[in-house]
Amino acid sequence: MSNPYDTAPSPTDAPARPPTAQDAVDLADSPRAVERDSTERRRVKWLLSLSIGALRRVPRAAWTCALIATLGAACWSVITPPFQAPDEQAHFAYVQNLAETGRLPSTSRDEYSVEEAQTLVDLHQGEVRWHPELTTISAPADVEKLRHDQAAPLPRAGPGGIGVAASEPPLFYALATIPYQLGSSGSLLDRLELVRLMDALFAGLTALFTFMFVREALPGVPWAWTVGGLTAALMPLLGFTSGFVTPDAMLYTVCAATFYCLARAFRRGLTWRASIALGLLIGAGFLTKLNFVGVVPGVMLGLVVLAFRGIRDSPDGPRTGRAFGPMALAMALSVAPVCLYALFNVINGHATLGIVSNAAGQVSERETLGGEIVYIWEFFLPRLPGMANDFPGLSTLHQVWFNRTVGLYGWLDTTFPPWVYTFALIPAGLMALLAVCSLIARRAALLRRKSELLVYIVICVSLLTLIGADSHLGSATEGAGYAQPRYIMPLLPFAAAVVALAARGAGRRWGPVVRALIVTLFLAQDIFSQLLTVSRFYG
Amino acid sequence: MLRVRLGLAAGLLGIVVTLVVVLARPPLVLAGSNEVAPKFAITFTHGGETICQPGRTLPEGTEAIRVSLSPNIGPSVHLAVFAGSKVITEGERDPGWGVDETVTVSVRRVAHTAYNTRICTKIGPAAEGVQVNGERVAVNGGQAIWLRMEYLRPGPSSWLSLAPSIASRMGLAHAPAGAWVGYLAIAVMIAVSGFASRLVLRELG
Repeated sequence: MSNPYDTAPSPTDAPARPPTAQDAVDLADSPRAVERDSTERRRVKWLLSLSIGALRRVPRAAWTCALIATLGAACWSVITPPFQAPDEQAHFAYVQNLAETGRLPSTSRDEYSVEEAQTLVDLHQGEVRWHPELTTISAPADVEKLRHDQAAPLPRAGPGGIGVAASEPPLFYALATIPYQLGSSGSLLDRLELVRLMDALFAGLTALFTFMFVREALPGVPWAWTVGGLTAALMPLLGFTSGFVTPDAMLYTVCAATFYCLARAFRRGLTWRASIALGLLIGAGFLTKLNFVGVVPGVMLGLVVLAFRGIRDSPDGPRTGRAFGPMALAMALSVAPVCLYALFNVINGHATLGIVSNAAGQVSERETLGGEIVYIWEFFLPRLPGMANDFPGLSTLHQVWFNRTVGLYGWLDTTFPPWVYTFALIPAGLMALLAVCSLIARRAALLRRKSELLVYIVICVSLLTLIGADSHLGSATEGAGYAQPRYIMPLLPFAAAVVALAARGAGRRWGPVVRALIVTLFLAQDIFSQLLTVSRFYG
Repeated sequence: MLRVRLGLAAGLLGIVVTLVVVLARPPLVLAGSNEVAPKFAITFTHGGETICQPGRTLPEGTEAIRVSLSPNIGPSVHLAVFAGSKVITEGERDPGWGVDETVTVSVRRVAHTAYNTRICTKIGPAAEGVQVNGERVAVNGGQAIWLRMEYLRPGPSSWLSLAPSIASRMGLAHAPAGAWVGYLAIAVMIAVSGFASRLVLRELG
């Protein structure tokens, strides 16, 4: 079996001299415009060839996984009725507000544009949401009213209040204004679908980066890359979440790319290129969704570990030097957007972190640290002796997180019959067993990469802690509203690697059968989840 | 390669067989109710209590009962339906359900229509306040909470025979519009299955 790293490293992979201030001065003071144009052209050509070269190195199987994920999410976007997914009305209002006024939201009150408010009324959105016994509108009078209002020139700009999405950073919404503007001559439902399709593209990128992550994590097992990529591509939760308007879709992509870049850096060292990529990704994550904060501690730990590991010519080769410079660059790039945002707010006399400052203020009002730790523990794991019982009569791991990962769609109101969740324990239990067997069998290899594994575990734990803490914060007013598996989906690449490990645990004889069965299992889950959603809203 | 083909064939066959079985079954439809109005949030409960109330007529063939309780993470709900002192059917829903305004509890199929029934709803311990939608009624000089109950039984048509009407509904309040949208979704998922199968055969051998 060929080692994917046998190929000679390209010149661009080698650690390069960091650009200096003098470079910038030299460039700016170039004596002749012709020479400057020539330099610019060379730079563009170099960037183009770099991009094309990088894209060509992506295996065809990864592209196929991306295609499958995109098509799956596009299908979900058609199946899920407009605004019948968590907070979609608020996320769309953010996009509309940004596209129509060019301004960021000013308040978290539900003050949507007349056009969106009327559409929500026409769709009976409030009545259908959380009422599985009610389907979408189908009476001719209702449909006619919707069509009439969609064709009417209702005001698109609202007063700036966009509901629960107000505290989210703007990058996703700014990107979403592109498909929104492309459909500006159409109805609101046309624009909504175009933005949903942009999210479907993010699903494709997430699957692609998941494939690439598994490729870096298990470089000697090419079939495992495909198992990991297909697991992500066919995961119904990815398709569902990337099938409606939400920054989660982009967050998954950013996190998958971050996992990939970290794994790549652990194999090849923290080069200047890797540090720029990681820094930009972390910066993009900060600007995509606040939940990204939960991933950051692990990624920062990864940068520190990588700096000490230094640059190596090959994964197990000798260290040729530390990488503190690239680490510092990555960290500077990652916090730059937050600093700029804070500076902008301070200059304009707003709260330092804008509308986020309100939420930050609430954090300090929480109860004791011990009580919070117990809550977060029990939010995910079984209660230990001596702990207070925050979730009486409930196994959160099984009856909340497992069951809801198996199937919870629509406005969190669409579930399978209870026996499906019981049945799902069988394949899930078998996969968990196989993964454990695989880990035990390869414990020596695992120990050799303990620092890398530690980084991934810290990423997982810190994100789960953030979700648990958020839930605790809101538990007094909205109950356990954060018990939604979509919040832990940024860990999808890690989960896909575990599934690939499970397939590896089946051994040589049964391995091929198990791999194929695992993929069809996820395909089945996707198909039946879509049918469930269709039956709930249109049956 | 043979083993991969075997695994893939077994998996795809399993999907097709399950699809046929699921689509051949009829959906559950509303057969009746206890005629209590689902007034929003009349009270909240933290579980650990039993509410007994008149169930009126329980139609023949009832296989599930929809109860008007609403949480983020629901507690266990046990239903027992009495005709006189005899339990004619019962069922339980494990905790963890939600988020919605109702919970559907599967019960043992009711063989014959039962009149003047009484239903006891035992709500298990809850992790958060459970919103009760129903009515407050005066009983024996005091006040009682009655939940809205809806009785569900299999409808007359299978999911498969309903497919054309479902497809046309899918294209009504949506963009793009038209009955073809439903069929497009089917075509896309067939394509997804084809791409995934091809990749399995090519890469997992």
